[in-house]
Amino acid sequence: MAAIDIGGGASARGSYTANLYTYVDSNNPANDTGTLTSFELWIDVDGGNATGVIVGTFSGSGTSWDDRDYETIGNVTAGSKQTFSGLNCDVTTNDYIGIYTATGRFEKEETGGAGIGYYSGSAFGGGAQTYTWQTGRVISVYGTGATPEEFVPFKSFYHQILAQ
Amino acid sequence: MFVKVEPSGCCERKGMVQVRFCMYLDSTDYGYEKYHVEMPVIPEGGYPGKVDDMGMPINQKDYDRWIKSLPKVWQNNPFHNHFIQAEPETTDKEIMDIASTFLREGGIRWATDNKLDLVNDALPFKKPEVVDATRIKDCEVRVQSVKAITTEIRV
Repeated sequence: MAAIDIGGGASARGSYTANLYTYVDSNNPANDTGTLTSFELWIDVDGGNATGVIVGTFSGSGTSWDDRDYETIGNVTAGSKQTFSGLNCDVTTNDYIGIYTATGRFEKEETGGAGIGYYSGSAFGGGAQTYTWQTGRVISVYGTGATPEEFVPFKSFYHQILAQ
Repeated sequence: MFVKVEPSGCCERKGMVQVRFCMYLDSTDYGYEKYHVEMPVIPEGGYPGKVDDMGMPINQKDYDRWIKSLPKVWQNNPFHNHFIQAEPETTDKEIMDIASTFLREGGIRWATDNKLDLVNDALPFKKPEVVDATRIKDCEVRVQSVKAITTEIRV
C-alpha cells in the first residue's frame, strides 16, 4: 500500500470561508488512487462551532466539478485542529478536496495557495456544478489514506513458493 | 479522558451504520490546554454590520473590533474523533465497548505524541454484498437509536 494525501493542511490562518457554500480546494491534489481514511480540519474560532460539515473528493476541470465521494462529519468544534479517523472516502489521482458547512467557517488563507472554487449551497450528491474560482486561496482541510493492498493471484503466490 | 457518541456524525453510510465517537481530555490529562479554547459568545443574529453577498463583513476592521468586544467562554474540544461502520444488529453495549477500546488506544497515542490515525481493521463487521432499500432502511432506523446513546465512557 502507498500513502495518499490531499489538501493544503489544517492550521490557523488569516481569513475564513463563508458558510452555506461548497468549496473545492486545488491545493495538493490527490497523489494516488485509493481510499481516504482520515481528515484534519480547522474551524475559525470567531465564527463559532460548525454544524453540518461535509468533506469529500472532487473530479473535474475548469469551472465544472463533481463530487466523487464524501463523508458526513457533523458538528465540528472551533479553535483547534480537529482530526477524524476511521473513514472510507474514495479518491482518484488528481482529485481535489472539498468542504461544506451549514454554520461556522473554515480557516482560510487569501494568498500563497493554489486557489479555491466556491458554489452556493451543498454540492455533495448533486452532480457536476459550476464553481467560481479565487486564485491564491487555501483552506484548512487535509486528508490522508492509502492505495489498495496489492492483490497477489494464487498462481503467482504458488510459483513464488516453488521458486524458494 | 472520556468518549461519547456524537449524534451529528451518525448516519447510514454504504449500507452500514456510521457511528462517530468524540474523545475528550480531562483537565489533568497531558495536553489538555491544546483543546481547551476560549471562544467569543456570538449573539443571535450575528454581526450587525454590513456584509457582502456571501455574508462576509465588508469592513474587516469593524468586524474585528466587534469580535473583540464580545464576552468569551471556555470550551473543551475533542482531542480526536473516530468513526466506525457497524452492522445494524450491533448493540449499544457493543458500540460503547468499541468506543472504550478506541479511547484507550487514542489516549496512548496522544500521550506519546503519535499520530491518531486509528483503524477499524480488527472490527468484526462485514459490509453487505448488496445495499438495497431494505438494508438502507434498517441502517437508518438503527442510526436513530444510536444517536440516542448518551453514555460516557471514562478511563
